[in-house]
Parts: sequence; C-alpha cells; structure tokens
Amino acid sequence: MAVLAPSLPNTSRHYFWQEYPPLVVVAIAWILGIFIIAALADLIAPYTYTALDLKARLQPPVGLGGTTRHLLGTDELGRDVLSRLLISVQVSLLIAFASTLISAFIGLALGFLAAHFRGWIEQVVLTLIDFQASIPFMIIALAVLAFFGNTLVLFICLMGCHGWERSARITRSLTIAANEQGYANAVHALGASSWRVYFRHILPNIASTLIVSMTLTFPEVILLESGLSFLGLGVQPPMTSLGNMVGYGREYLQTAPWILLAPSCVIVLTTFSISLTGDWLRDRLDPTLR
Amino acid sequence: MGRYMLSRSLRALLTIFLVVGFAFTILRLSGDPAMMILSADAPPEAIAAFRESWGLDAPLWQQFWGYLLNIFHGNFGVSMRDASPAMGLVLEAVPATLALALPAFALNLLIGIPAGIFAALHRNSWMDRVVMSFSVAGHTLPSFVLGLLLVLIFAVSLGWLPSGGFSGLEHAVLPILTLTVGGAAVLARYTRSSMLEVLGQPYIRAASAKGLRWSQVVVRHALPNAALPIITIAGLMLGGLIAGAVVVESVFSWPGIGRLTVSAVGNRDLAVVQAALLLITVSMVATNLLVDAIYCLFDPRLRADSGAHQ
Amino acid sequence: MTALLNVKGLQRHFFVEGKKEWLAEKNILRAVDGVTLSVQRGQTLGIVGESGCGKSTMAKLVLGLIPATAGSVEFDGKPVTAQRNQAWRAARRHMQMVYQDPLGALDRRLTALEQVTEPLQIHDKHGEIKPLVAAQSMMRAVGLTDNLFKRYPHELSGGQRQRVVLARALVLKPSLLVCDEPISALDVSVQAQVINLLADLRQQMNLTMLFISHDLRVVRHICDEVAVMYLGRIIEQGSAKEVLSHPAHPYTRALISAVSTPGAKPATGGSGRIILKGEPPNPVNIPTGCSFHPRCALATAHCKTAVPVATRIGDSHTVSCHLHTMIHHGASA
Repeated sequence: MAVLAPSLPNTSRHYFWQEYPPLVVVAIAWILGIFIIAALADLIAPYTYTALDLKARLQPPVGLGGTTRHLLGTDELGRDVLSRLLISVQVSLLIAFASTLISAFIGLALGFLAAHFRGWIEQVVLTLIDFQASIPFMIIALAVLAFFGNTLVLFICLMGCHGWERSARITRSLTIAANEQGYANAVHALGASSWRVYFRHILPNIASTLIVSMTLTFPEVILLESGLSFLGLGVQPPMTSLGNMVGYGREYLQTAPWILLAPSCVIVLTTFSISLTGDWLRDRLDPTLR
Repeated sequence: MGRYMLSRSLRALLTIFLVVGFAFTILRLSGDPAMMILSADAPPEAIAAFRESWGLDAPLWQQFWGYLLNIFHGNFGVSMRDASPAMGLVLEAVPATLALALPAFALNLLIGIPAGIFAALHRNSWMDRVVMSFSVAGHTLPSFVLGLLLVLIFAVSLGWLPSGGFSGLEHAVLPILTLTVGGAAVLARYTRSSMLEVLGQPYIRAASAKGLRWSQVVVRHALPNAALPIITIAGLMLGGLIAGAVVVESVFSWPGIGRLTVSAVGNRDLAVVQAALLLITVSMVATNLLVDAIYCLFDPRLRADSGAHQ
Repeated sequence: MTALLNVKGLQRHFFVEGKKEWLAEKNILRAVDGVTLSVQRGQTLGIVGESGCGKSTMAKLVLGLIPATAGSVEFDGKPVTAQRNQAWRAARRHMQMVYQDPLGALDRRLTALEQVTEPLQIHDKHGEIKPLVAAQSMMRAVGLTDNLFKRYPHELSGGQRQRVVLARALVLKPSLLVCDEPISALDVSVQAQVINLLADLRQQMNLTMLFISHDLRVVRHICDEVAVMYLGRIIEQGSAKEVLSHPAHPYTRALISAVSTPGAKPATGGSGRIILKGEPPNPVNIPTGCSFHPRCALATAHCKTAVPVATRIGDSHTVSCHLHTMIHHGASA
C-alpha cells in the first residue's frame, strides 16, 4: 500500500515519505505504543484492574458525562475501564507473542525435518500441514478447550498451534530450493556439516520470509484469542483480556457501550496496524512474494 | 483427471480419519469418557453399560475400533443437558447455520469478486485505494466487533433491525451482513492480486496488440486465467465462514451449530462437541473435495493426465 | 606415477517416471554410462560435449556429491564415496569445485571475505592458519582488490564473483579442482581473464584440474588432455593438441568444425563445416549399438548393432568408433 507521490523536488524529506508512507508510519507508531503499554501496564494503570468501586458503577468516560477519576468510565462492578484496558493489552499481547513464537518454532522445526530427510518423514509432515490447513482452527480449538479446559498455559500452547503450517510450508520449500542448487550445495561441498548449513546459512536467508509470515500470524492470534475470550472460552476471570472485556461489556451494549467499545477499538487498531506493517514489510523485503 | 481426483480423495479420507483419531485421542486423554459423556450422577448400571458398548475396558486399538463403529452408526452419546442424542441435536441446528452461511457465501462472491476485478482494472487509482482500504478493514475487523457495532448502530441507535433472535427474515440481515464483510474483503483482495498477476502476463499484451478491445481482452483472456486461484480461495472461504459462524451466531443468539458448539464447550457437553466437530470436519472436507473437482475441470493442465505429478 | 584421480566404469542412472500409465516401468536416464578415465597429478583434463551429455553429472560423481550407480572413483588411491559422513567432509580439503553460476553459489548475506574465510572456519577450528590473513592473501592472489573484500555478492560483477568462488575453493589448497563450466555465465570480455587466472593459479599451486566445458576454444587453451563425451559415454580421449588438431571420431570432427575460425584451414581436412543431421537424442532412449549412429553420415549397418570399444590410434589417443577399429585392424591385419 505504498503511496505514490507525484514527482516533487528530490528533497530528503520527500524521499522519506516515499520510503515510509504516512499510514505505515502511524501504524508503526501505534504498534510501538501498544508494546510500551503492554510492558508498562502495571506501572501506568491508575487502579488495579480488579479494584471494585460499587458506588461508581457504569460511569461514562470523561467528555460524555464522566469524571477525570475514570478517564474511560467504569464497568458494572465499578472497575476502572482504562486500567482494565491497559492490563488486557498486556495479557492479550503476551499470549499473542508467545503463541506466535511457538507456532514459528514448530513450523521451522517441522519444515526443516521435512526438507532435510525427505521420504516418508516429509510425507507425514505434509499430511499434517494439509490437515491443519483444511480444518478451521476455531473448531479444533473449541474441541480442545472442551476436553481439556483452559488454564492459561494450555491456552497459550493451543494458540501456538495456529498458523504453524504456514511457517512449515515456507521453511520446507525454501530449504528444498536452497538445498537443490546454489549456496547450500556449495557450502555442503566445502565440507560443512548439515547443522552449520541450516543454521548459519539457510535460516538467516529465510528469516525475512518467516518474519513476514509471523506478522500475519500475530494479529490472527489476537483475533482468535479475542474471539474465544469473547465467547467466554478463552482467558478466564479474574484475568482480563481484550476479548474478555468485549464479552462482558456486551450485556451493557445499550446502557454503557464504552465498556466494549474501548477494547474493540484497541483490537481493531492493533490488528490493522500490524497487518498494514506486515504488508509493507513484505513489499519491501521481497516484492515477488505478494 | 482421474489420478488427480483419486489422490485428492485419498487425502480427504486421510484427513477425516485423522480428525476421528484426534477426537478419539483427546477424548481418551481428558479423563474417563463414561463419566464425561454420561453425567456425573448417572446410575452405575448406565455407566457399566456405556463402558461395555464403547468397549472402554478393552485394549486401545479395540477401543478405537469400537469408537469408529459407534461413529459410523451416528452414535455419539447423549447431550448432558437433556439426554437427547448428540448427533440429533447437531443435525437440528444445521439448517439455521446454512440459512446464514449460504447467503453470506453468495454475497461474498457477488461483492468480493467484482470488487477485486474492478480494483485490479483501475490499479492505483483512488477507486482501487478505496476498495483496498475497505478490504483491509474488513479483513482485520473481528467479526464479533463488527457484529456488535452493527447492533449498536442499527438496533440500538436506529432501531431499524432487531438485535438477535430467530423469528423472522429481518433477524437474519445483520448476521448475514457480518459474515459477508470478512469474506468479501478477503475475496476482493485475492481476486485483485490474481487479476493483477494475469494482467501482467505477456499474452495479455499480445491479445490487445492483436486489436481486441480491452473489454474483450479482459473477458476472454484475463478472467478465465484469473479464475483458478479465485476458485481455490472461494473454497477455502467456506472454512472461514464456518469459523465465523461460531462467533456471529453467539453475538446474535442465532440457534445454529456455532452457538450450539460454543455452549456445549462451555458446559463441557462432550458428546455434542464431538458430534459437531466431526460433522463440521466431514462437511468441510467434502466441500474442499468438490472445489478440487471444479478446479480440475477448469485447469487444462490437470485434465490431461500427462504425468503431471502431485 | 599413479594418477591422482582414477575413474573406472562409472555409471549414474536416474529413474524417470513413465508418461502414460500408472504402473509403467520407470524409464532409466543414463546420464553417465560407463566412463573410464584418469588424471595425473598436475595435469588438466577437459571434458567436452553438448548440453545433456552428462558432463555436470560427471563433476558431481567425481567429487562424491552424488552416489554412483556402478563403477568406482578413486582419489589419491582412496575410494570416493557419496556418504556424507565425517570422512567425506574431511576429504573436502583436498578436492573442491568451481560452479557455473557464481551468484547462486554464494550466500548473498555474506561479504566476499566471509565467504572465503568459511572453509577455514569449517576445517581448521584450531586456528593454526590465521583465517583472515590466509583468506585475504588468497583473495589478492585471485586478483580481487582490497576494497572488494567487504562487498556482498550482488555488489560484485560476474567476473569478481567467480574470483570469490575460486578463492573460496582454493583457500584450503586442495589438490583437485573440478571446474563445471566456470566461465559460461560470464561476459565474453571477462572469460579470458578468468581462464588466464586459472592457468596461473594452476601453475602456482600445482593443481590437478578437471575442466568441464562445451567451449572447445577454452579447452584447447587450458587443458593438457581432453575427453569428448556423448550421451554419457566417452567417445574420444587423448592429449588436447592431438585430439583437437586430428579429431578421429565423426562427432568430434563436427564439434571442431563448428568452432573453426573462418579463413583458417579446417582441421577436418577440406569439407568445412560439418552439420550433424537429426536432433540430439533423449538420454532415456539411447540408440542401440554406437549411440551416435543416427546422426553419423558415415554410419554402417555394424554401427547400429555393436557398441564400439575404445581403440588406441595414437600415442595417448583413443577413440570409440567402428570406423577406426576397422581401419586399425585392417591396417594391422
């Protein structure tokens, strides 16, 4: 989504805006902001997210009739929406981050195994990839949640099983391509062990593609986790997550819509920013990947 | 073609088998199936009978075989809530989901594909940007947020449409709309990039150099070639629709499979979850197979079995 | 003095899927079909032939990069296997390869200096040789100036890249260097430089080389001996001077006639450019008897049925052609 500017004098500022379109800059700024919030949430939240204040229930945000004591209003139990929002960001991002890493790791490992050993191991991995790709993950997640419950660790592992097939496919095909000709073959012929070839040569070369794939998985995990938490099946109280807040705020859609609008906005803006940045990264790193 | 379809069918069967195995595995891993599928206070004779009919005291492979047989006969156990057969409950909910999914799918195609073609033909113009912005927005907006927003706007503020329930055509409008937006966005995007790729090919330039009008070039040369990846994506979208249905039905209290599964998960009503899982998976695999067959019909490279190997 | 490299009856077959039927018998592609040759220490053997005659497969077989279907390869008295174990990797110190596509052979993420240092890191972990010093001196020896050391492959010209590949191959001072069409991908103006460089280095480092090419002029310039390959078999072999000025096999004659400079006296004596009839056949369906007979203007009925054996017709000059066998036997009868 690069913005094509008409021909202007070749000032460095113009060049900057061409390299980094304004929308992408805003998106990156948002992402950085969200990450900082996630890191510092405990410190900057005005209240603890479980603090009840039953006398101040369902207060609207400041500007719509509320006070500055609760900038984004309160929910049905008098808990400060802003504080809950900040902590939710932390929880949701943590889950998304951990899951993306797990998923990338699984995909990388299986992709390497398939590409290195070929034969029946590759067939097994391909079948697993097919399987994962043909069933919507939501259904599998629901089944696992039904049978195993949803402690946080289990939930993160479950989310980590989303999207690995993409990384595995990429790793496998790029590794096979690298192995068949070119530098990997040449480094093998120099006498390098397979470990060296994979980790010092192939992995760094496919890293950029993998990272872009991870920028696809990350927002998807956020959406998945929010969806499940919204349905009451994801992050459980007393912990709070973005989807969780939307779920709880739903009952008060008519009377206190800010309870669910605040987390909804954060979800939308965050996933939008990450998708946008991911697209732009992909265009920059490898235009042929589109 | 025969060989391709054969390998695809085998893959489909394998996937179904894997899902059944998966269901069986998590069932056995998560505790005593008898206690879970019947209920905690079922009489001991019922538990013993269940164990016997499901062969739970037998060696593992025998259990699996027993499981397969039961599944084959449609016996998934009974729902915890009202002791009615699980598969029956699931099947009852299917028409409601179809009432949402099928119109949404049709709308996806009708809106998404033309939008994508339009954007590709007017590349980099403001119209292209608008379509693509909507597409990205639709793609990143989670369905539950969109659903709630629509309810907020059309039901709460404007009062034009009801916010949930099942008792009339107007109840279906918002859910279908919610489902459509996401799918149409994805489809528009893929259609656009598929068209762009085809339009960049040398044979397009050759066709217009022959003197054909641009519209003829597009219709006769570009569209048929761009159609193939679009068919694949359209097939994949069905999966997205089902996943989306899970959330949308819950938002709008629509009594379809999605909502049934979610509440079953919440209640740990494992019989229903299993039944739903298997039904959804089988229908998805079958649909994918159908898409493969259609794809095969369209792609001349696959039709002639010239040793092209999968 | 025993040869550094000894190849006996080397064969390499690939299986190719049959076209129509499901369970059709797999067809065999005979890429290398019984090659015997040897290279003495310090000598350069050239292997020439058309595309698809099996030259590149020979290169990989000789180095043990792919396994042979039959036959043996001996390097310095020891057999060469394709089993990628510790011994195989250690043997890499003594035999290296230069590739046709220098850009593809280099890791685009590493600078030129890092590429050349890598073999030292792999084989010499104890740092007996100072890696940086050795790498730099090798790079200078191949003609790369210091300012190029920190450049990435895509920032170098084709000739410079090939020099990097060469430096990387030679930094461990191997005894055998296999060159697989090393200059085909380079600009004509640069080809001569690289060939001259190869000749110089060969002398300085006393290299034994296997030089694979389809370009007879280059082979004439740099090779001591030459072997001509056709459909996986060697059909003529001998000293470069001898074979290229007095080609015996009809195929060799056709090849040479194609590169003769206009105005010069044709080496083939009189007739000028020889055009072979027909297409190069599919290596899956090798013709019976002499594999060249469908395109040979001098083919006899005997050529269609019997496979010719290598006949010695000169000092070190052998040819596999019935015409010469008959002439020879006829002469000696």
